[in-house]
Amino acid sequence: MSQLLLTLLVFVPILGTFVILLLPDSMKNMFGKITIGINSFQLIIATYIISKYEGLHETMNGVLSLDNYQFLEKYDWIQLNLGSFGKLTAEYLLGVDGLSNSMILLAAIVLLIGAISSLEIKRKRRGFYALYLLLSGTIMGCFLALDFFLFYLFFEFMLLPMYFLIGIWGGKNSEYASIKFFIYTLVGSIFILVIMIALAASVIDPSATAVQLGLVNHLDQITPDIISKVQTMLISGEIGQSDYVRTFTLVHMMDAKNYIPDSILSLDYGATLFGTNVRFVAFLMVFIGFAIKLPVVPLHTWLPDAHVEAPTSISVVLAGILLKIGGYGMLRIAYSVFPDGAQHFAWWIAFGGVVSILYGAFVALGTHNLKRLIAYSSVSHMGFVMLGIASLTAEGVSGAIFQMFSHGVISSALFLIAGVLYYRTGDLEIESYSGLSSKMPKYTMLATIAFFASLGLPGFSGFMAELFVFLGAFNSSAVNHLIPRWMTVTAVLGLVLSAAYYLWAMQRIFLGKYFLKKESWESLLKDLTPRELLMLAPLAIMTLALGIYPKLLINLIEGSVTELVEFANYVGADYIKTIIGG
Amino acid sequence: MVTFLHYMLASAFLFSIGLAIALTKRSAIVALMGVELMLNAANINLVAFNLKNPALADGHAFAIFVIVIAAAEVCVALALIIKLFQYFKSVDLHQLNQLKEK
Amino acid sequence: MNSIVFISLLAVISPLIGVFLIQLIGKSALVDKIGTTSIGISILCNLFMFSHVWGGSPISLTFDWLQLGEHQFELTFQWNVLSAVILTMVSIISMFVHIFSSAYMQGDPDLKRYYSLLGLFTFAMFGVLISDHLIFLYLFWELVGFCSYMLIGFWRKKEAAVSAAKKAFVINRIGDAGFMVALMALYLQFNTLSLSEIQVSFQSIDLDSSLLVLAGIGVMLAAMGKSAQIPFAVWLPDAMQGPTPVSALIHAATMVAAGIYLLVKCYFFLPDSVLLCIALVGGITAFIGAFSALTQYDIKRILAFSTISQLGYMMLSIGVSDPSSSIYHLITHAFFKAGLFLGAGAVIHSMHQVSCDICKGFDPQDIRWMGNLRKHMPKTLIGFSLCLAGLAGVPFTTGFLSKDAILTSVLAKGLNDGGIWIFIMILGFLAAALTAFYCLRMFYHIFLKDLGIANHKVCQECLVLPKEVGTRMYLPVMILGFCSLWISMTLNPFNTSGSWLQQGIGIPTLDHHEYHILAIVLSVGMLLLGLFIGYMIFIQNKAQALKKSLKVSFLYKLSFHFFYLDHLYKFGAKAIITTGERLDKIPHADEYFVKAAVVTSEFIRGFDDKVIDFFVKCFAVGNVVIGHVLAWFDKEIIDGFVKLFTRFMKLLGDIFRKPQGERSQSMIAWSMVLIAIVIGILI
Repeated sequence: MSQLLLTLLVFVPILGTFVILLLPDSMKNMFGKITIGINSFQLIIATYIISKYEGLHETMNGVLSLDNYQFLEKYDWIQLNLGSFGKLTAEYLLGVDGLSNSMILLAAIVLLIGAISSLEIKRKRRGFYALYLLLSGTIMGCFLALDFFLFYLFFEFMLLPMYFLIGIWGGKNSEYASIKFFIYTLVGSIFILVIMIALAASVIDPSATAVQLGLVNHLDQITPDIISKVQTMLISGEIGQSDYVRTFTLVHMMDAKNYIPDSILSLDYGATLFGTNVRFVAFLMVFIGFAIKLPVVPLHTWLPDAHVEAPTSISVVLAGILLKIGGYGMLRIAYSVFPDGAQHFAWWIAFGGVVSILYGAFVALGTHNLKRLIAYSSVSHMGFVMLGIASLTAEGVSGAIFQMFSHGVISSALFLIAGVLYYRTGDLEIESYSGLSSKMPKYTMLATIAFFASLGLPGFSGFMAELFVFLGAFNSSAVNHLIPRWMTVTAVLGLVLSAAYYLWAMQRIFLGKYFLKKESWESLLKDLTPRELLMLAPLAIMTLALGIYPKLLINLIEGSVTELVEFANYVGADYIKTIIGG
Repeated sequence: MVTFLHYMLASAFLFSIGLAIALTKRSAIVALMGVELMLNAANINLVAFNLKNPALADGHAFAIFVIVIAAAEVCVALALIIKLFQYFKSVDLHQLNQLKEK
Repeated sequence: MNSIVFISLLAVISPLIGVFLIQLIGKSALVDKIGTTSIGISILCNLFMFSHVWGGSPISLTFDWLQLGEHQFELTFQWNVLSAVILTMVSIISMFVHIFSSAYMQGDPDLKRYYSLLGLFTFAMFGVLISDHLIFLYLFWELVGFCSYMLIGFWRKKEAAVSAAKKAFVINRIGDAGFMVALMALYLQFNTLSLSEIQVSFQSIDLDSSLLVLAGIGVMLAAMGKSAQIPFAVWLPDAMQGPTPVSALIHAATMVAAGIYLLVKCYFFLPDSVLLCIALVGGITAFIGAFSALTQYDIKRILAFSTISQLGYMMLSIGVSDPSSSIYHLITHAFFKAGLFLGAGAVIHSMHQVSCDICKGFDPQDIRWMGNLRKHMPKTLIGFSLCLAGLAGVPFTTGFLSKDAILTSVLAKGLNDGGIWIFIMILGFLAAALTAFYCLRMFYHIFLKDLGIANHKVCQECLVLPKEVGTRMYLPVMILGFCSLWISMTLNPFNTSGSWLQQGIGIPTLDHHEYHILAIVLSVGMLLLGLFIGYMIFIQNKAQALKKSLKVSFLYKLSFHFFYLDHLYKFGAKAIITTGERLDKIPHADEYFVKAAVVTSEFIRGFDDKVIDFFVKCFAVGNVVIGHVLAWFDKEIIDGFVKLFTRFMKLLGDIFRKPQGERSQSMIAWSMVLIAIVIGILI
């Protein structure tokens, strides 16, 4: 059974899509419940996986081995014979490690809460829930896939339901927003696709090649010796082109010895593009692809539009999970496969992060729409992720992952808070309300918690994340000299700005004299319903728990993060030496 | 003893029946069935030809290919027939002469 | 865990438990009792712990908290002499505030929230005092800020209070950002954030002085934010919008003390350049605070500015390398300032009773309406005037002792080092004179002159005379007043070095005995100077012309508007917000792309229309001419052949088509026949 857990996580929701599509119209009221049921099932499995997840052992051999991943599921999937160009294989390879375990837990939680929140949807429910379940499955697949091709498949497939969910169920201007979202993400995907193809053309699977060469009869007999033998043969050119088994598996892409000599992305090829080594360009392309998703400042304009137009539950999923795929993808693919590029561009990445932090905060101060404000605060918070990742220190990268988790929880809560108002009045202009605290005390309390959590009040998870990012980024100036000190010190200003825009919004909406733009709202604005409380309370508790005892999460991610950081630092430096020397 | 010739004969027989149906029946659906019979006759041929060179299973592969294509084609054809019926309220091939040069 | 640790922990957690109980039970009749009881337990435990720590070894408690990379984060809570003193002080003052509040806040509908926040605030303050690990210190530090935000803005419908709360939090956040920078620098330097570990490795490792300066400046900024130093002091006068007991608790005695406490804790690594900055900031703050207090009319604002000024003294003391005097002044100041605030609360409370429906408009906090309260509120008078004497630094008060200690150090530093230290020294002494002056002014307005409200133009008849407040209100003031007498600290009213506190804290102080007498003389001189000027102006009513001309002078405005710092901040905030709005309104970059694409395509279309089309048209016209010629040729000659050919083909087609019949099936049949024939021929 435990062999199938991850597959269940991905495919049960997709199955659910078909179930919902096939159910008769008379069961209309069941769709929501089925969706919630399936998402709860996902949460149960995710929790089980987290509880069974063991930290990395000392004995495991490095990042480059599949041993690092738990709950591994590995099946042959596509094998294409290219004749004289060898073979092209893609595997169905799912696994969990420290980078992904927190993300699947987050995804499961946010998806369940999003499903509860979508009970508000009244229009075309069959389509909505079918697409929602499809989204649930593909998101999980994205976090679990360890094969680039499989990852890309899920990554692209996420777009389709998202496009329709924003476009059909969104607000007035939703078609514009959804097309913008779609095109932006698609552009990013194309960058990633190009590099994926280039990688597949450059990398071989040493163990499968060994079988192809007849060194062993079966994959089970592969030993490290044989792998290194194949790698030596590869470098010395003893393997004919028709015997190459090209692969999409990320673990193989991480090892420079698996690159075919003189292939486009190999270290010693030395081709340049725009005056830069091809590998650096490749890193940058993958990075930009994910940076659009994250988003990073010049590429962020799809986010506020998409958030303002999307229905509440989709905003929750979008901010809670989809943005994190950007950060996750950076770590899983860009940083793992191209550690050289990561070091080469660290300054710029950190700079982008700092700009995002400050720019997002500035704009959030100037907006008059609550959802837009939260969207820009997301941009600002994702800047911390960039800064942390760029630092390539254990603190920084852990902080970045912590920030992704914490922001997932907090921004979900924030969008639910905005949704509460939107559901009642359909208006999110901050100036339309004032002094709600006297009328809706429970709502005010939870909004206060969410606002303060998001502005990084210590005791909430957001603070811990920011603290670790700052410590890591500042340490980087001494540990690996990637980020200058002034940059981190500048980023600290973000703390002040975030307090300013949240408190100002708080003051305008909840405090002061009681005022509503339209008198007819008076009867609509009731305090929180039990359903809304049920969604918000767990999020509040979670952010508080993680803020006081971050070990809960750090323990899960720490081992893998340390390995990745060491890999990116040392191996990356080696790669750079080879590239520049050669 | 069933020989190669028998297969050929069966195939030719089937083909002729299919052709006859396709040519004579007025109902579009029945005509379609005739076409299917002809395709299957071709399949028998393909499989039979595989006897000549059993090592390469390309005859079988082609047969399966044809079956898949036939299935797809039937889908399209049936969809067309349904649409025709909705439009003309009839599937009589003799009445479907709108495209014909007058 | 042994029992003493348990008791120490209980002292800290008790207010938090109180908060939970208040939230759970929530009957408004009980909340003040629960709150007071929980603080009472804290006091008892703290006193017990105090007696244990005093002269004994510090208690500490360590938890494993986090492992990150190769760094281990261990949480340590520590009770040493320093924190024990302040813990006890905070719990006692919190107790008084609770008791006072139970009378002052009576009838407020939101008491549950009020007492929860008071308890939470006390807990946060305790947390700041016992945390040894800087991350947790920071955590509680901001929790203090959060509670002050909630408490200042406690009356949520009052716009001014809400704005003041926001201002307090945001400005404190600037300091917190500095704290964060300090954390980063210290972590890089020492690889740990535990202060005791830093202290150990401080002596043993090579230090990067630039990092230390950065850390020092960060800590200084943090302290400047929390302890309301220039230029971050603007939040403190506004913070008086909160309930008066809250002002006493937060903005006089405890929260603002956190900044000083942090600096004292971090004193060991502060480099000299940072100390100079601290001294400068402290000196300027002491002076400007006192200067701004001269012209205020709101009783709470005067007290707020006096707090700023006194906090400046504490900073100054740290700056001149005398942290123990700073703590000393912190403690004495906490008592007399809490007494002053509670006394002011009592005064305001009874002034509230004076107002009737007609003269509703008057501000009960304005000292001009007060007066002659010595007759109406004698018990408050005793406590209040003792506290005021402490503030002014009159001999035989604790305030005199601690201020004297600070001024001695400042004098020593100024005379020894010269240069800018002399300027700082002068600021310090001038501030002492100003303090005496505004204390007298306040005393005169509240207690001595005739009741101001009696001169109210509209409402003469309805006047109800102010009454003495209830026991629960004047008793805390009186007790705090008596605590301000020298006897509570030392037997010798002129020399602080015998004080039990100074001996107990045990922070090494500079030996500057030779300046001590000079300092006493100077400070008493300054006191007398201030009192004399005040006496002349207020009581003798001399120098009226001078007073009038001063009132319109620039200096007066500068003082009244607190050096226009507020305007500066407002301007800055507005600029930032406008920038944000502009940025938000800029059509998005991608829209530029779309626009560029559209424009380009339109241009190309135009090019297409005009230029290419022209050629095309010329070409076409030429073609037409030729075409006509050719057409004729074509039609008649070539087409002749073509038509002939088609005729032939049609004939042929007809020949074959006709027999095929009308129907598609017969056509197919025919084609089949033909194919069969062709195949037959081929074979």
